[in-house]
Amino acid sequence: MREVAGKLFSNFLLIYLFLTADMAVLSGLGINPGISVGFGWEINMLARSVFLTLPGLIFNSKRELSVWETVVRRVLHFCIIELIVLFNVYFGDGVRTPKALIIVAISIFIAYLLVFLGECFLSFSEAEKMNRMLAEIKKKND
Amino acid sequence: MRLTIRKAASPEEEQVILECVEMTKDFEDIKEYVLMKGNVVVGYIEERVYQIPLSDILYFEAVGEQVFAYTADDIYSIKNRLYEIEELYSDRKFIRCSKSVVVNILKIESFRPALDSRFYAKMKNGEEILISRMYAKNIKKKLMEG
Repeated sequence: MREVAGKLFSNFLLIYLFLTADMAVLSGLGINPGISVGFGWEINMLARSVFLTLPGLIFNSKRELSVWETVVRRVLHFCIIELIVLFNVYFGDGVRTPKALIIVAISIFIAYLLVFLGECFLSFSEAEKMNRMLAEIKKKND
Repeated sequence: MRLTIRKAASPEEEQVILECVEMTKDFEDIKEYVLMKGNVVVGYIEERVYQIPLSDILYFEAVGEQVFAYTADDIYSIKNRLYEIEELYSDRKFIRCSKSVVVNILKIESFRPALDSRFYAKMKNGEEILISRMYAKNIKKKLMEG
């Protein structure tokens, strides 16, 4: 329980950091000039970070999942992120036009896909490293 | 029951001798324990008892309350619990790779990634065993230790 809470809290801090930095960059670039930093803005960032931390709960199952269950969990994770971000931009940022919402949804999909591909790449290099170590162990034991 | 310990001159001469009127449950347990500490595992197929060389075992799997040892050709039922096997053979390159499987590292052909930081271990008989995220770290650590 403590481990899960610690992990969620560190996720929250990371999300909060990146979200704040992201908003600051957008504001600096003049893409979202409506941002005025203050108490309300701070609360807004904290609330959004809490919402965005929630999908991480899906990955804290102790049960060993089958391949299909893992796929379902992935899809569910993606859908929840889509919903939360779209909810955020619709009610928080006032983005109401269908075209803008579709662009946001596609952007989230691309970002999710890139993160997923990054994970795959890391897993492949990890497996390669393990195979090299395995070969060394076998050589030693022969 | 009396216990006698004699000093052996060399490791080759080390042995355990059981002297008993008849093989009671206690003596059976001692016999199995001694055999388990060696290079063989006592396995059962139906009522038959086999001594399986440890080096032949690909992995141990717990199915419900029962534990099985898998070799390239046969599946043996084992009397021990999975955590006991894990403890007994941790120094013989056996390691837990999921809640229900203890695998012989030396019988792994290769690793490949699975979804969500998990891996598949391809065994020498072609079978693939899933290494769960929780135990993948331990396996990497064991591999690093050599």
